[in-house]
Amino acid sequence: MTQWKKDWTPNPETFRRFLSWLDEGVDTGGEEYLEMRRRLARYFERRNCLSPDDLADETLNRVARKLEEKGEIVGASPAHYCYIVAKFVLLEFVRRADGNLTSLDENPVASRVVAGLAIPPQPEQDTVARERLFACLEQCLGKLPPDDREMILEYYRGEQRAKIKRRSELAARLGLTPNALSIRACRIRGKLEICVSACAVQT
Amino acid sequence: MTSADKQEFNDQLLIRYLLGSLPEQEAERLDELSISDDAFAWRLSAVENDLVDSYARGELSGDDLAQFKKSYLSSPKRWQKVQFAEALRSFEAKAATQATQESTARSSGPKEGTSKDSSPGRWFAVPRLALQWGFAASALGMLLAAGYLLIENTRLRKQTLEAQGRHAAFDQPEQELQRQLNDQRAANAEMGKELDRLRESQPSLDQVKALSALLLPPTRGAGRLPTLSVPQGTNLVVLLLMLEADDFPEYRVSLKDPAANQIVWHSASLKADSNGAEKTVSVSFPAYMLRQQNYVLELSGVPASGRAEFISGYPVRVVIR
Repeated sequence: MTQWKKDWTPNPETFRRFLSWLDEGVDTGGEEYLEMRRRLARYFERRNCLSPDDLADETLNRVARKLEEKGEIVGASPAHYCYIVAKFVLLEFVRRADGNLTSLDENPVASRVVAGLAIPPQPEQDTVARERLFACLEQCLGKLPPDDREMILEYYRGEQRAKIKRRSELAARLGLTPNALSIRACRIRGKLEICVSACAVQT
Repeated sequence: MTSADKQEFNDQLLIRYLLGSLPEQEAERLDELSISDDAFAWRLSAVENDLVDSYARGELSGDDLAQFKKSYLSSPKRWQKVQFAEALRSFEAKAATQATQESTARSSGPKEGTSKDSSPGRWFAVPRLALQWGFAASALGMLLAAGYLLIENTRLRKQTLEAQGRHAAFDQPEQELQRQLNDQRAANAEMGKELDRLRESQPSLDQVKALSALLLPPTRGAGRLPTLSVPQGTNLVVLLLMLEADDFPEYRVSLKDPAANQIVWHSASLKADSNGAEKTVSVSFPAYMLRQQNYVLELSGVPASGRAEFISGYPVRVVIR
């Protein structure tokens, strides 16, 4: 897999300073870091990178290192600076994707060729996997606070056209703006997805 | 970027961005916002969740559906989101079925002590506040001396609602079955077209012109120009992917177009071959699928039980001669 600048890792003090810089004066207890990592990973994923999580970590590592070396980063907000560094990481990734092809003549293994059968793409889920995922979802929903559970089930329920009206009513009932409700639903769903994913791997 | 600028990003534009259909310059603009702008990032997440839910519910169609299958589903993490959405939809369907069954059961005889119910239906309760207001309104009505008429009216309304509930209990499974049947028909039709296309394009064995090459693991041979020269008239391309370790009983390989973020071909399950210490996975696919551009062959390991795990990507540049 891609070789990155693994020779540097932040020490606890550097990492604490990095978290504080990302927080921009508001202590989020690491939430901002996790959110930035999620956004970066999604960015690399949309850009068709093979290991989006690794690239997100590499980006944050580089930013932390720069902060350590310079003492401060000026001229850009933390989020915008992370994006600038992420663009460079992406460019490097694309360049490093070169290579790795040799001719058949160069390797004796290539004298034996067993061709695989081409088929169109198909869903990989089988019934067992679906049932396991369903059980995990039930389990993870059960771990949510009741208010969050009822909210998220109500928010994502039904067909797209019917959702708009229901969400508007739900926001009014909860005393939230539609935008605040949307963000809250996204946060809860994100946690739920992580919980279900972890549960599915374990079982 | 001001908030006024952000207004131009309607949901349809964000969907095109998520599906990889936007021009590069515009996509870059949204890339930046997706990281640096909190409001935009959350909105993008919300639109993505709804997009995935729409796919899971069979609500996507036309270009959106085609692009979703080609582009969005090319990433293992996105697959996970789709699987989650499908589980959520199943949960909702099961809850709705149970709710209507319980409603039917209650109408034939009320039961006490259901607090330990663990079915999904219990999480879709009618808001308690609404019921309280309903009772209060009834009481006020009685105090205004129209008690008898109101009680009679309430009784009739309740009967109507119960009848509607029983009707819904019969309707819901039928609708669900109909939906599943339609989904299955659509999938069959799509599969049939693909098979026809493959049959038409299949050359006879004595006419096959095959090209083969070996791809090393991505950590080796860095810096070397990855070129696969495909002569005109080649029918079949056979590629050997060398493994760093043979850790899985089976493997799968996807041929991905990184520029379009699309998987253009997907192998069946494959077993690794060994020649001494060398382990390889061999795949073959029709040459007509290749264009003069870069591709990535994504190798996934399939464990004895559980989901396939992404192992590595083997980039290759194709030159048509």
